[in-house]
Amino acid sequence: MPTIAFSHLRKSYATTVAADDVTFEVRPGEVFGLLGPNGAGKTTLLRILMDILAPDAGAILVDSRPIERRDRDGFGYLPEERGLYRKERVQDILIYFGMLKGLDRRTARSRARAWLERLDLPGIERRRVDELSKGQQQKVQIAGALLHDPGVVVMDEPFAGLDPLNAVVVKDLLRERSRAGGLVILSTHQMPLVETLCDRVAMIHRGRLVLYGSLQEIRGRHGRPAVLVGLADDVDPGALPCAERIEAQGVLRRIVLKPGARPRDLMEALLARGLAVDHFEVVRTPLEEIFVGTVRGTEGGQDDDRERAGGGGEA
Amino acid sequence: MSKVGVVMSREFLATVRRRSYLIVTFGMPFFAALYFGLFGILPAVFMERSGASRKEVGLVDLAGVVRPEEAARAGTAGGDEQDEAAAIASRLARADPRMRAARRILETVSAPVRFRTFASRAEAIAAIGDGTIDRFYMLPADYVASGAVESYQVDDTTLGVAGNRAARSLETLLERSLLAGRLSREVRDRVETPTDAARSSSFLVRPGGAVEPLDEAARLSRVAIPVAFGFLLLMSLMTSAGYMIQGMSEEKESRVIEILLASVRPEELLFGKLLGLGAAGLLQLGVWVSVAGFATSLVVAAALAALDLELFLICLVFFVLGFLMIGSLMTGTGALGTSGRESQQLAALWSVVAVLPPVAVAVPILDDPNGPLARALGWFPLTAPITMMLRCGTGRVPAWDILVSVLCLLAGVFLALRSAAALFRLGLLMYGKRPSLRELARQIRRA
Repeated sequence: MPTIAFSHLRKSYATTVAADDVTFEVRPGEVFGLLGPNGAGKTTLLRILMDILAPDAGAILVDSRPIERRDRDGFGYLPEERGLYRKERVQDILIYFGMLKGLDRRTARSRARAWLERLDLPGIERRRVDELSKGQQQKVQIAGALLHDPGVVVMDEPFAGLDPLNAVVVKDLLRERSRAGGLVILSTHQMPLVETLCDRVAMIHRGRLVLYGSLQEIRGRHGRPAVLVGLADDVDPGALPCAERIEAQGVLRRIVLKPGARPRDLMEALLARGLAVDHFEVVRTPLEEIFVGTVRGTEGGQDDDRERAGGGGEA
Repeated sequence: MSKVGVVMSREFLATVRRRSYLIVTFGMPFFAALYFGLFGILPAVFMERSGASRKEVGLVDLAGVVRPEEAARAGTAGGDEQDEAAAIASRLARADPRMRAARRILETVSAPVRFRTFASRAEAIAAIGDGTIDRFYMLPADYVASGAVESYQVDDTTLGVAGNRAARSLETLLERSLLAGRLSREVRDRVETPTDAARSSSFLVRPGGAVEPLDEAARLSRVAIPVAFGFLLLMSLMTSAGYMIQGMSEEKESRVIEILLASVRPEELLFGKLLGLGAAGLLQLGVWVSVAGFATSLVVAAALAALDLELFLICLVFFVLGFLMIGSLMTGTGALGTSGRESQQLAALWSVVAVLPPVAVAVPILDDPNGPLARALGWFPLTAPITMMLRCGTGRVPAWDILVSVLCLLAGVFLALRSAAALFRLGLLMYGKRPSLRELARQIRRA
């Protein structure tokens, strides 16, 4: 599978800059997450990748050469919103999409049936799209994107409209493809899914790349160490010099440590005050927190926090 | 199958399966028949059933001009139009026994009016009273000097088939009676029919001075083929553009368009759609023409017998190229509309640009098919299809001239497809927004 690079992409509309010199790359065998708030420019980047939109500047490179049409024939694409003919039968639509990707009619038909079974939708081939639920439509569309067995899967919000059970089915499917050496690029808002599915991520805000790298690297750089603590009594943050803030998390308290502070400093401080500790667990910073913090930081003009990744550089 | 082929076959099948398509395709002949029946045939049928047309018309001749032998003759022959209707009726009967109903109606309309003379006005009024006649004419004593005729009828309508026929028959009767005995039979016949089309002939003088008989049927076909193709082109464009815009709005709304554009180039998508919808449009026209052909089998047979194959092929080439060029421009601009209605209006502009100029100057083009105006419109890609069909119908356009026009049109098709594909892509992704002129220009330049 190839390495795909988004190289210095720029795209602007009448009053909005949707991509502002965005550069990052996606490697074979990985699930890559494209994150960002609404209107950040994620969909624009995916549309440029699929040649639906032309960039104002920059290019998409495949193994360091400009992308060609035949490269894209090996891509499977799921757009952000439902892309199905509402009045037509599921089978006819899937066969049409498969044939547009080069399959013959018979192969497209048998693969459509197999994919629908795989996605727990057996027997709906002859039903019209407008008779299906939102989640079923989403799965039909996912089947359409994977029908021609693409090496590169590009999905814009693939989990939208799926219940937790179906989200797991789709997640397993994407994992399976990356394990088989395929390349999966997805955009999503659902951070818990990103944490369990993506190997690396890029975060876009107002058309600019603000975070890029593996989850571990991003946490290492932007996360604050935190500890989940079970205490019998209340504690004042001022009484713990190593604590930045204390948040209630169920019956426990999540104490975020100041930069440079270690969990053992917190333990010593708690014991020194004679507090009864019945739970002490070092936890990772949720990606959502980094996400929100980065967006707020960027909006607050803290541009020094922005990372401009070039030539595959890590965050 | 190529991607264009996949798109074409999908568009064709999706269109012909649409309920609206089926209703229009098979409903149109039914509604046309209904319309024709209601406003054309039914009155004649009722007239025939009621026997009104068979009633005699009264005549009170106080001037003494009507000759009895001419009055009797009027009962066996009508005016020119009635002769024509009778001729069509007999041709129909010979051509197709299924046309019996139409024949009866035409015979009813063409049946000659019989006159019954009455000695006085009172006698004629009495005849109306007992239902023998529904109308009578009275020629006053000074008729020859004044030309005044009095008409009496049972109803107060001045319009109507029966009244018109009676008035025309009276004129013929008076004309013949006034001329009888004053002119020889031959001269009287010529006054009635100055040129007898059946015995007349036309000749063509070739540039070298050679004279050859002019084949009327072939001449009719040379006019009919371009006109038929021009009509077909316009109808196909209108029908296909309608379905195309309907389909595009659906794809835009349902976002299917993103999946399509991620799999095929806009040019391929546009081309496939044009071919598929063009085929569906032609199928629809085929159904209509077949149904209409049933009613006019004679005309179709005559046209086929005199078909000029060379002209047919030339018109076919211009039809296909014209459809591709104007259809692609209609689709490209139609995609820019923010609603189906706006899209239709934008698209319709092209058909006006393509059809209006050559139709507006059709007479000068036909008079001088190799003149500067005819040549300019014939070489300009947008107006070339209709203009060249008209020009080629005259049979006087040199081969090189036709070739230049085809080449210009091919270049036009290429440019139109490229520009339309760019507009198409731009328009399809502009959900609910209209692109600025600057953006349009940028996209076309990029294409």
